[in-house]
Amino acid sequence: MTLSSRALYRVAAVTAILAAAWIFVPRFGTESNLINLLRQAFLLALVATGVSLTMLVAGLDLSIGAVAALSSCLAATVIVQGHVALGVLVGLAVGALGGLLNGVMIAKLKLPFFIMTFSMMFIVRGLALTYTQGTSIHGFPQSFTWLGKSFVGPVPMPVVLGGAVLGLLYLVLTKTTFGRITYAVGANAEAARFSGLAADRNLIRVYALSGLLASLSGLIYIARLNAADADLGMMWPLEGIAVAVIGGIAFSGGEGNILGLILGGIVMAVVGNCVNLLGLPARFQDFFIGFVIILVVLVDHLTQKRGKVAKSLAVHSHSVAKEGGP
Amino acid sequence: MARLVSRITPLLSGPVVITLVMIALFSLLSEGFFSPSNAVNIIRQASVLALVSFGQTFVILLAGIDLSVGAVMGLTSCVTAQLMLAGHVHPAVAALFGIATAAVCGLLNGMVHSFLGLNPFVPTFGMWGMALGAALIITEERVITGFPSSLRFLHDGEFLGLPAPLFLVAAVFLLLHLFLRATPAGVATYAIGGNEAAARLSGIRVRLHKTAIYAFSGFMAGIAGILFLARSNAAQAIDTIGYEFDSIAAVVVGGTSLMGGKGGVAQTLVGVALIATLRNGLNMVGVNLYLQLVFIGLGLILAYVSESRSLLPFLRLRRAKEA
Repeated sequence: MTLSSRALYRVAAVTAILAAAWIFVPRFGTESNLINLLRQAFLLALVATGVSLTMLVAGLDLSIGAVAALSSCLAATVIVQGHVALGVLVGLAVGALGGLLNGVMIAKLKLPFFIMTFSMMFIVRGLALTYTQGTSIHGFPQSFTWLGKSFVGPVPMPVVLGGAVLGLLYLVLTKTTFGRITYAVGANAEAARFSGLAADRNLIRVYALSGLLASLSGLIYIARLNAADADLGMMWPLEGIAVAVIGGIAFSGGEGNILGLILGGIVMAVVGNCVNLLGLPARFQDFFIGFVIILVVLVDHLTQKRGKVAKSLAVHSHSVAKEGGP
Repeated sequence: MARLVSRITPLLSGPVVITLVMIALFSLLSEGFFSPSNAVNIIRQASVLALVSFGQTFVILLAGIDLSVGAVMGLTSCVTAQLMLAGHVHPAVAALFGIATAAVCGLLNGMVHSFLGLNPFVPTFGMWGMALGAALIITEERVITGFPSSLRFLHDGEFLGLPAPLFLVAAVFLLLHLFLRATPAGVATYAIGGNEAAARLSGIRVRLHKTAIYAFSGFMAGIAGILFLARSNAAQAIDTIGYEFDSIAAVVVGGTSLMGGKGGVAQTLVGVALIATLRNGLNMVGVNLYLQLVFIGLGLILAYVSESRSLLPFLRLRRAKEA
């Protein structure tokens, strides 16, 4: 996959936003602020991976936050007893299982993704709250908090982990059969089915993967916060959608580059960061993010449209030129 | 008798049966559930969701979605409360201004969606952020209280011994039901949702119609926001967040298809009744707040499954025989 003009436009737009913030917002360019920003951006991108994968197959996973909460609370119980590896495994397994359940119900029982993942959000959040009874679990060993708190050189660990996960997903989506089927199913599920692709199995795998990624994000979050509670990730579905949309993942499915999430994460983090640095009340963030979402997608949409028209005109004039001449 | 049965059975869709079963179950499990006073309670609780879900129904009939309604409801109640408190505006005028704000939000959604061709998720989600942000900014993230309580009768009032919101919801429902069934614009709504290209070719002004419907959804969110304000007697930006998803769930559980062109406000009314009965019943039975969430999730799935593939093979069989 080459870097398309749309991807270039996105990179340019994000660079422009960064440059504007650097020039106009005091203390934006300091090393500690940039490191914070980068960490926030990659955490957001990581949170958005599940939402994005399901958007690629023309669905949506609204249960990611709840699944992250349940899996990380269960994992936390094991981890505080000192079994770090086992705890992480438990967390990931619970996440994958939740996602698998979503996938099976959607692919096999033909429940609309909205009803299934929305209901799942209630069920799993309820289970998490029942399990913790509203208390938080803390006091993790350093061998676990390392996941969220340590640095590799100057780079925070969540950035390294997020980057690795996104890179891996990019390879899986572009180089493997699974990835190609994912895009094909998202573009046209019916056509994919008719051409003999295992669309149902693909859907199940995508939702399972979304659950797995949600629990992974949850684990990194609790490692960073050094505490786990059932309220984790309340806003994740909405934040994930925002990051994905800004990152160029299409709601209609079958379109979008997973690496775009890094751009989406950066934009969201920059908006939050600038609102903070400018001393504006935190909630100006929502207003600006809403605005930025519409703006980014709109400009993208309009440039794409013009590109299409120009292309078809070019083709047209080309064919005229070929046939033409007295 | 057989005739009566054949008249009634089509009305017994999955969600209706589930609601009836739940009512029976909760009545057995809790003493206070099956009582006039609790029925009034349920109606009061359901009225806000019903109003906002009616608007959402229209949008979903177009195969669209409106993610902004929860935040727009919050904006409406915050604008209205601030106008009354800080601006000393007459409550009725303040409420009208709040509803107009909501309608403008919906209008913007519709214009960006239908004239610029963006997937409705994007403008309505962007509007969610902007409306929430605007509401938080005008309230400075505080809870607004202490304004005149003259709007409260909308929620607390009684007429002929029945709660006021019942009349509001019933009137709106009848109007909308007739609109969808008996007016060209109503039929056009189904036509656009069923097949947009075909609707355009048959001369329906699709863009205009869609814009109007998103504006209408905003308008209904505004009315719901005012009723919510009348109930809580306090305005807070984030109080109504969640209604976007609740309303979509009510519409879909009732039996309106997310693919558009199929369903209606009657189905939505059933969906709202189901959700309100479930919530109230779980409370009355004394199910722990946390576990309630689990049951609501399971209930939604069950209700949808019952709607899409009939749980009534027996009744279906009977109808087939008669036919």
